[in-house]
Amino acid sequence: MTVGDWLDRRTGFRRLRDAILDEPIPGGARLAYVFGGVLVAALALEAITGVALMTVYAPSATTAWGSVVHLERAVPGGWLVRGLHHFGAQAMVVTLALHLAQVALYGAYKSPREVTWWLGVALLFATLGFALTGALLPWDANGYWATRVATNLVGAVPLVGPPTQRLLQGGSSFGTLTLTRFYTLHVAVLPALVATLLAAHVALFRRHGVTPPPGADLRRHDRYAPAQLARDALCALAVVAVVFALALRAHGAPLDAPADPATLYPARPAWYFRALFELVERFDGPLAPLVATLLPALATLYLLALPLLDRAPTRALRPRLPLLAPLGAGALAIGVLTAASIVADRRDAQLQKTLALASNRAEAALALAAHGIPLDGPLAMLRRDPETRGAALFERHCANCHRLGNLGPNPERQKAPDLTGWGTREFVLAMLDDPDADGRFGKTPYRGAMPSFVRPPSDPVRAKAWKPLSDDERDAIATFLAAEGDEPYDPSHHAAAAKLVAARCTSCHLFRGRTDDDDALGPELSGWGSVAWIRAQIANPGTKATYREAALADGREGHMPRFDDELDKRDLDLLARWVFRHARGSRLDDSIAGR
Amino acid sequence: MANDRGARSSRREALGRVAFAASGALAVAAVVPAARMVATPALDAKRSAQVWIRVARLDELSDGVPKRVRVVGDVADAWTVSSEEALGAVWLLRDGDEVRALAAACPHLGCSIDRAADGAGFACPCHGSSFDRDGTRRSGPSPRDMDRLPARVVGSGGERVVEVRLVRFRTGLARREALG
Repeated sequence: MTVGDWLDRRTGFRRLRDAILDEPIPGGARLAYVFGGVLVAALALEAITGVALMTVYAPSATTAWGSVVHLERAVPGGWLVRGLHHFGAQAMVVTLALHLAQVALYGAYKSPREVTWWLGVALLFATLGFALTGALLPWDANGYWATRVATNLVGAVPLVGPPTQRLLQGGSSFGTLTLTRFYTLHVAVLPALVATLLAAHVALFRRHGVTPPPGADLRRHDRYAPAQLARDALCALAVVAVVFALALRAHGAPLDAPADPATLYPARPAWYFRALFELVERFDGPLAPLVATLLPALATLYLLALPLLDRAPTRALRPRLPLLAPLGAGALAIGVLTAASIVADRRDAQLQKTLALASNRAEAALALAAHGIPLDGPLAMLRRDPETRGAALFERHCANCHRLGNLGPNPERQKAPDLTGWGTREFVLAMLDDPDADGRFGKTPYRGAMPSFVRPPSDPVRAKAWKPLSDDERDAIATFLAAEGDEPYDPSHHAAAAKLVAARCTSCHLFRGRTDDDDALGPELSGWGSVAWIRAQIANPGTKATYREAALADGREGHMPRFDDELDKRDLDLLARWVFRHARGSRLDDSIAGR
Repeated sequence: MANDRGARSSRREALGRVAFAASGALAVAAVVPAARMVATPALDAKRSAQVWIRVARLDELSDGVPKRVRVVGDVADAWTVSSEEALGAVWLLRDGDEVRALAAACPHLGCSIDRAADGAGFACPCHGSSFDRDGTRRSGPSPRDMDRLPARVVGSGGERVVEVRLVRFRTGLARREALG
């Protein structure tokens, strides 16, 4: 007696095994029948990788993002497992669509298989539920904002919407309790639901068997194993190979910057929700939530009603075409809307710019996370980082008027000097040549306040008295002023040039507190370009440390305001230092240097 | 007829092998990366690198008078790092330019060792183990002497500081066994 015999006598496992493997397949095994088997394999991949991910993932607003970074970076194979889970989910959605199409085309939903079909529809929604809840879990910018859009849509449904939204969110706002609820749905509720539905779905499928196409040779009989099993397993293997390839190519799965409720982000859902997203975008306004819920509701109703509507005994395709038309139309609409949405995004220059900035933020956050994430979370980490905070402060307080590098308004909307290269020798030379160029005073209330020292004034009377600065003099002044911002500062630098500045510039400018004309506008030139100068200018441009009080006069509309009432001392220091470094560090724009 | 049946059965066998191989490959593909990831702690026995932590200035210590100091440093746990955490305490014994460090945790059950009431050594308040002033076990349930920790004096002149490495040892054993 073998071990197998011993076990079989006590468990009867052979009967179960034979029942599974020897299931007859009337009309023979077919590739058309593989989708169910492939889905089971993909689900198993999701379950196995999902359990592995649970050993690292920590669901809370302060830990989720960090745990995913840890998973991708520090856990051997963690990135691969996350990539497989991510792309495996997409493979499931594709295979589900194919499964549904095959069953519809073969008429396999017809009596007596209605309940099998309904269970399948329920499984489709459970799978989409997995996708929706899973997208939030990394708590990164894209997942966070895409999910907020989704829950807001739910909340906009009349009557039942608001309580449902609160139920999903675990309160009236997004936070850790949202995450724990989505996590519970993702790893406990939905898996239990899918396991139950799937067991019933497969049991009913076994009860009624496959649905061969009309005209199949029913005298031919295969058993599930090996004919159909081999087909199922090979196709599943091909799908898993594609999933591996995608995970390897992406080296894991995408991870955005940590979710920041204060930073708007042009969220996009996963591609399979794109059609629905586009629908909401197109029907912007009060109808949006109605469209976003009504159309999917109608589609669901159609799917559920299909086996009841189609009661003719024939499974031939042609007579059923009118009833299947909505399915085809729906598939077409999803395809068109998805493509339209993606194309529209590609053509949206503003969106591409925002996405590029978001991707910079993600890179910065990931770089910082390499040194460990503080216990109060990745947002606190970013807040404490001078580089990230400097950029954020500049964007919030300066970038409406000033450009600097890739930050700031488009050139046509720019109202203040371009700070790219500000403080450098090249900037001073350009200023002496043409102060009213677009990137300098041309679009500011100071236009015309400073003359060129290269070209004569257009007014013939003033042109007569005008004397240009020689190339050598301009060079000396530019070198001197650029060095005024240097750190460390050398007070005795270019003594000769300092005399030149005192002689030629103080008819308008302040220089070391002195000026020939108390009513002129020219700012203080000593220390120009230094961190202290920038700091004083941001805090209050009218203290004589930079400009004079007249610079803040009401008549000079569009002048730079003071920020010392909006920014505390620490932020002022940080922003001044950031502007200093970035203005000098960034490559001088050719258009400034050339003119 | 017999030939036909033979061909069919060999085709069946081949299909069976394909099905078996493909299913096996699927199982490997799903399980191996996940198992590798989860098994990491069992496979990598690497100990966390011990760092030197500054605990006192040398001139705060007097010859022959043991001083208890807190060890404060950064703690890294998974992806998090918390700075300025109290990690533990050590007893420092100065002898001229040399400093010896003894873990304040009792080798018996990890209680915090204090100075003996008679001032001539150390005593554990929990279960009464007592130690000489150099940490040698005198009496009580402690299975070994107080644990000596790596210590060094760095810097020069008045800026000399004492640094220690806070190694933790398994309690309750006569043998000294460091925890990872």
